[in-house]
Amino acid sequence: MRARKSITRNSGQGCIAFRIRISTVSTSILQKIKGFSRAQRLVLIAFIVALVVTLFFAYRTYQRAEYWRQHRDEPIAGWMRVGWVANSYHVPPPVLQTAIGLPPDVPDRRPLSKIAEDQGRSFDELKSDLEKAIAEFRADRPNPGANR
Amino acid sequence: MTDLVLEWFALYGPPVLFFVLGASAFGVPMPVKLLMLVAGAVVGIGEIEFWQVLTAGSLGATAGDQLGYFLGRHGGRPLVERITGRYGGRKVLEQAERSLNRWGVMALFFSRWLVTPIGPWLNLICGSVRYSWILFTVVGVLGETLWVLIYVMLGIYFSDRVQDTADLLISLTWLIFGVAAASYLGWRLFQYLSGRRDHPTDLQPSPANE
Repeated sequence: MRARKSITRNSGQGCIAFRIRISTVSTSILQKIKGFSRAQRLVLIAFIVALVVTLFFAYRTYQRAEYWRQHRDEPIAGWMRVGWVANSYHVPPPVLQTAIGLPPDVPDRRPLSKIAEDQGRSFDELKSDLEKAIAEFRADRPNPGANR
Repeated sequence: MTDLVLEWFALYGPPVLFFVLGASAFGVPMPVKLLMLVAGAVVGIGEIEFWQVLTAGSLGATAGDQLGYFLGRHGGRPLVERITGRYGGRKVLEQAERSLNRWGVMALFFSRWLVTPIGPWLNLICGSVRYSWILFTVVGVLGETLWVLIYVMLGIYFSDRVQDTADLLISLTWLIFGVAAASYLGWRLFQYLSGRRDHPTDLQPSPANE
């Protein structure tokens, strides 16, 4: 009935007709949803959940991308090898190896947590030694950003 | 867990990639993206060969897929039939079989490297409906190799920021999964809603209202 009304008013008041049309469509959709079977309702709920998940991860991806764009230095973790830290911070490996009391010319393949354990000290101590060496190395160079 | 897996990788190299990617393809949550990026970074430094990483990774992932497939094939179908027998489990399986025959290759391929969260489920479903093993394996190997290749290349290029890159890609994967799921479910809903539109008494005004 309302659909028909919208057609008759269409000539004069286009805006009102449009609104009535929208309300007609939405009420008919609501009526259909009320008549959904159990399986169809499940699909509807899953759809809403999927929309929420999508919106959440769209925002999160945006955040991560922004962070990725701005952030450079990665936190030093226990699973990294000395060579990996050197690569990540663009510092020659021997500099870091010397800083934590390892021979500079032999690549060390142990994870840092293992090195700390073998040296009988905490990982945090080892980490701060590495960070100090990196800071010193960068301070010595006229343009630290040049090798990026 | 993440630290442990990466420590293993630092200590033992490519074999860890095989087992971790295998477990992940089977459905065990593993920090695979970070691991593959780290592997790429290590390839970039020159400590490991590219082919070693690629072979170990894609073989491991394929092994995990196969495990899921055969679990579905030998355990899944009887289980589904017994549990859902009263609610038409056989019908659900037949329906899954029909849509897999139509969309299987595409679904399999994209679930290997792009919409990865559905991968382990699809393995079980493929096994349960006795989807062609040859097709499953061929598409699986291609998709998994592409997956490892993409992440290892990204690891080589962004070797100085693997953790941030992994965080970004994990989030992006879930976003892609969300979009894919919402699109599919939205399409189903649209079908439900528009399917009844043809019904004469439903939407079209009756002549009396004219």
